[in-house]
Amino acid sequence: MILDTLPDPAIAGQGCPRKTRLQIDLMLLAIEALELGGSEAILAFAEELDLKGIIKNRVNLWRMRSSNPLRRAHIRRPLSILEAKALVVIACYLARRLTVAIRQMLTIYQQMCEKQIPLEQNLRLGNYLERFRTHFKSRMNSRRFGALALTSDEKLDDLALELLGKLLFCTGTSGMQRFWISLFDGEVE
Amino acid sequence: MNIQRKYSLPNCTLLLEGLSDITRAAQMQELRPELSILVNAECYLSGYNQPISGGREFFESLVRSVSSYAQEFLGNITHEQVHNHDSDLVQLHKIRSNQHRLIVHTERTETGLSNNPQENNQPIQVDLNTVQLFDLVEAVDQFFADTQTLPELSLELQPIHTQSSGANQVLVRQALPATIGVSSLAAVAFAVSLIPSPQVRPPEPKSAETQSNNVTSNPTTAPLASPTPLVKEAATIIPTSGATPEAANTPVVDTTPPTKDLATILDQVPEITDASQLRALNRQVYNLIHPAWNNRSKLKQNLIYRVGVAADGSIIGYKAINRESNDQIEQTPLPNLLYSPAKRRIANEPIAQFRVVFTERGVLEVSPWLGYTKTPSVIGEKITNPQALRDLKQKLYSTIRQSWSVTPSFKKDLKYRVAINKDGVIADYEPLNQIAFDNFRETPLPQMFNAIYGSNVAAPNNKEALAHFEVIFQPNGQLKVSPWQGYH
Repeated sequence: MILDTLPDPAIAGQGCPRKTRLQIDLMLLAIEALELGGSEAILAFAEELDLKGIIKNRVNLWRMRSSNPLRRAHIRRPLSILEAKALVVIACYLARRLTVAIRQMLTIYQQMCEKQIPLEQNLRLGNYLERFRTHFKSRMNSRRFGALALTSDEKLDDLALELLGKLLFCTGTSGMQRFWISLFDGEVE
Repeated sequence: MNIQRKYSLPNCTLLLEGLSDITRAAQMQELRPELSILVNAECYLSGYNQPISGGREFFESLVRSVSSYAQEFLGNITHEQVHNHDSDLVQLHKIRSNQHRLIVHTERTETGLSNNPQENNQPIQVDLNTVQLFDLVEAVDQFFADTQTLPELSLELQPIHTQSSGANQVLVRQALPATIGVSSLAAVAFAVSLIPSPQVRPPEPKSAETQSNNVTSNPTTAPLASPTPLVKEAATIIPTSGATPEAANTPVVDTTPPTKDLATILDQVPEITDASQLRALNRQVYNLIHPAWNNRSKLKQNLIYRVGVAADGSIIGYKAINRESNDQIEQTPLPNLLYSPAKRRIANEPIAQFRVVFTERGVLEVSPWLGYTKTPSVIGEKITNPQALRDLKQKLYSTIRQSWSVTPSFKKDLKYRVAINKDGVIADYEPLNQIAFDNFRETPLPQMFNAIYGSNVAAPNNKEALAHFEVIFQPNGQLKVSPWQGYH
């Protein structure tokens, strides 16, 4: 099974740590900002990758993602290691499909920084950043993300770009393993 | 033979030149021979007008630093690996979120490998953007994934931990007696479930010897296969184990429940003494107890039990051999593993007896209570057709060879018995010497087994015919597969 390529981390208990739940949801949020119909794609991939047993339907997916502590509709529900693996596998497959777009956008970002041109002037990049901000603000609890100093649009743009860079790393040969392991950095005993 | 390997990405190309180990190449006769000796490595980066080159030390440092920095980038946590080793030839530092600085020092053993002699004193410094960094990481990962190029260097990822406490470290180390495989990251945490429970510990010759001595010197306690009760009451148990120092100095104390009355059970049933069957059961008992034993660091001394086991491997009774073992029974998983007699309806079921020791060092030892009466052999149907055996041997060799890519850290040969079915699918494996037991994770066997059965507990009693081989992993990276000649 595809999930077996991801090792179980040495963490206490069955659920994923806060950082893991937060990071997975944010990466999926970045994918949704990149691609219209991103959440449909998540479900479609769950089907395609034979992960329907874990991600059963839209409600089920929403509940998993609501384990992200920043969510407005945050549910005190654990995210099991298996669920986290399934979401990571799907995120990486989606990222792989978007490799060209991600590379182009990061390259444009680099060039615009060098020339000191505002990022919104690039249609593609501007769209991504705007969609990410909208998604983020509508789904996350402002009091909670205020605590993470995500108080301004600039900060949210920084986060969106950081996630874009991470998505690129997910597309690589060992990207899935690398991303998965990084989710538990600082969390293992 | 001169070999070149190239890993090419838009912003980065890694070019490796090296040689193949002739002895191994002749043996393998591969289309794509293994690059086993690195002569020169070159890294071409867009934005830097000449290749950064060096030998083995440079290349190892490059892949280590790049891999580590990639994890740092993804996890937003500083990896000490990147920053603690100023002596590292290759270093990566974060400048901004989208700017990363690669610094390459000159190799200490430099003998003109660098194109420009002026550079010898000054480190090379290249700033990479995130896409360039990714291409460098990807080139390195493609190299890691290539098992025909320096197979001893492979990607080893483990999460780093921040709250490192001494106590935890000790616990982890004791709970997992085997050493971890060569790690290219300075990882400090073990992904516990990555590490399957070991298959079996062969009975220690010492304890077997002790027991057989005991049998001869103390005839009253050696009724071996006799259907007469082995143990009538606690007092008779003590002389049986009199040869063990733990018990010798211990006053005799009757061990009343929680231990199930093994003596009563043994009163009524025959004992299993067939060496081969004992050997197979020995493994089952080990595999049953080993994963269930937690809190291994808590023991103050060895706890020793005499354990009765049915032919299907379930534990149906146990008895502590001394007061300490009895008092601390709850420190062991035995009470939880006891097969509920209520569910059992077989009358006069034969029983095998094992000596189970939970050592204070956290090691589990299981051996037949009275040793083996003769050399055991592997039970079950065997594949005997010589041609089929030859083919299967070749198949097994290449399967293991392909997936064995870690630099051996062990110093002596690791010996295993490996059984495969007619399709070459692994059905069983068993370490044959102590070092094989301690280092089994360095071999691909647990992964091969786990990939098929989803766990590392021994496969369910296999009814199909199997071919058995002795597989030897040597410290120099050589692999040997030979037909099974029996336990020695």
